[in-house]
Amino acid sequence: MSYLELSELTRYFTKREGILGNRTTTVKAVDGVTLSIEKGEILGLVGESGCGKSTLSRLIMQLLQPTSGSVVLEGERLADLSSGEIRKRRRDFQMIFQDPYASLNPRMTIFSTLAEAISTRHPRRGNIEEAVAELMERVGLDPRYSRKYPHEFSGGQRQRIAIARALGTEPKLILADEPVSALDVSIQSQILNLLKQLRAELGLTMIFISHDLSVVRYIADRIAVMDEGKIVEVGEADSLFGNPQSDKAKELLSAIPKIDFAR
Amino acid sequence: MALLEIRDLQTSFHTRDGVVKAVDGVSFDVEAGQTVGIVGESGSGKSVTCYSLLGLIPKPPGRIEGGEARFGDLDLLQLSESKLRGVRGKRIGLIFQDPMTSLNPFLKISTQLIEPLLIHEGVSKGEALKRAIAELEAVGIPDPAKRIHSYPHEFSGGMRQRVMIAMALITRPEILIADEPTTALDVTIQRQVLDLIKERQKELGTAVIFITHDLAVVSEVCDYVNVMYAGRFVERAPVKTLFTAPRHAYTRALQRSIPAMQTKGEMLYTIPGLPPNLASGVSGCAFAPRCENGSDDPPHSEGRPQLAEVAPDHWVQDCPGCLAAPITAVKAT
Repeated sequence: MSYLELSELTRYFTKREGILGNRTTTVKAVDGVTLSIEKGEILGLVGESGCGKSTLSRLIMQLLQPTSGSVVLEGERLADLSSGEIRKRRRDFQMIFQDPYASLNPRMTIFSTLAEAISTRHPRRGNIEEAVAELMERVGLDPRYSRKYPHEFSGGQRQRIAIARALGTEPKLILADEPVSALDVSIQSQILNLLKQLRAELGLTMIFISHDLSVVRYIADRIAVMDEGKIVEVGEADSLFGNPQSDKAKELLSAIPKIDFAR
Repeated sequence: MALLEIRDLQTSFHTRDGVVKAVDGVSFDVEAGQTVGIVGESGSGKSVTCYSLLGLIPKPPGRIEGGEARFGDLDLLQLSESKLRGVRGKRIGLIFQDPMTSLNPFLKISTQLIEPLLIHEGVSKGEALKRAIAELEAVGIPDPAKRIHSYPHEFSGGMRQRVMIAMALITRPEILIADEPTTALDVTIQRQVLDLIKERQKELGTAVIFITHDLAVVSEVCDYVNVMYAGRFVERAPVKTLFTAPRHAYTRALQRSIPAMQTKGEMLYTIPGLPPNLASGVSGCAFAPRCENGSDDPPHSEGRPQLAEVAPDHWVQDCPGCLAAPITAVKAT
């Protein structure tokens, strides 16, 4: 039994059309996805916009109910839990979003953002200052800046804060949705290094969503390629990169701009 | 004489924290039909350089302190707003990063697409609409006669960027300024948009100024590249030279930090430190604190280093510290 198992996970959206709303069309956003992730693994999920990556991540996060299929974490079917129970479990799943500008509360200092995350896991923890400082150091931020607001930080630093907040609840699974696409190249590398280092230190399990295959190849152990709601190929990162089997993977690979002056 | 000649452009912002010299003495030429790239990190002054040419800098706090931009017999920096309006959108087109925010969500594509023709060429609405449909077809929008009456939200991100390109090129400008046109798009769409820009450029002979932070994109589309750091060009070279024989430490560091260039499992190379705070003024070499050659062996330039021509058409800031041979060899591709 794997750490996280998705079996035949499906989510359809139906849309009413026509003047009377009597015709319906169905969009199969996620269509029978079966995937498993081991503890401590980084799974890369790639695909074009609109292929269902985000819907899949929302299903895993229990933000959406599946039409059919199940999400099993450590042998427990999440769909069987009551909504109150799900809410308690939500700290086990954390997300890191693409845009660190939009995902931090501009009116909360870094200290209160991180303290809130920590207290969801340890409500009666004393000495929260120490815990926040430890968290900030772990992601490479100077704890002296804990009383500052998000706008006082650069894009890369803000993404570090978002990562620290995700770590604050001691999650079992982190879903990183395009965490470096909005950043400059040199900052991208810093964040990727940080995620890799955190994985080594804390044994994080992570699903890393991106459309940039070259970034995914670097960070992920295995890569799953998604197209029109289905997983079309799963494989070890290097072998998928070097020898893609599906048309979609080939297409995504050939689209990457390359620096090539050997011509 | 080049199509556009920019000499010693200086743009600064007068803020509460001091004067930020966002663009500090930048010169370059754009030849007809050529693609000139400007690369650099966020905040290096790439966009400000281009917006200065078109009078799009908010004043105040912005101010163009000096320089000239010769475009035919005009100096773009001296033009009155009304004269500039005859150039902007007519002889120089512009596309932005985010096609969602640069189209008006309340207006149909048709209204927005024929506007440049009505303003600049004074043609009739029917005539303009005909040309707009042809233009949409040229950028690969299926069923253009019908789609032209849609609203922006009915198009996907890639399709919207195609509409933006159609709108920018409909007046057949001599220069197209593309400011990070593919940054918000995913790889396959990016490929299509880059190919489209190249194709339209070939057909129309438009010169393109391409602003981006993505070196791989630069290597594919540009003929000539300017690398910008802290408001100045640190290196300027034909694209092949820039990637095969980069001289400046910053150019080399940028190339090394591309994730795709690195072996899996190793720590990714990152440029240490942050770009300088331009509000507090920069003296000497702006890159010295971050240079992997170290800051004193050989020493970095104490005055602001000037560009020097090291090979035909290859210019680099003359700072001994930044030009020193790299300690670790850069992986050649």
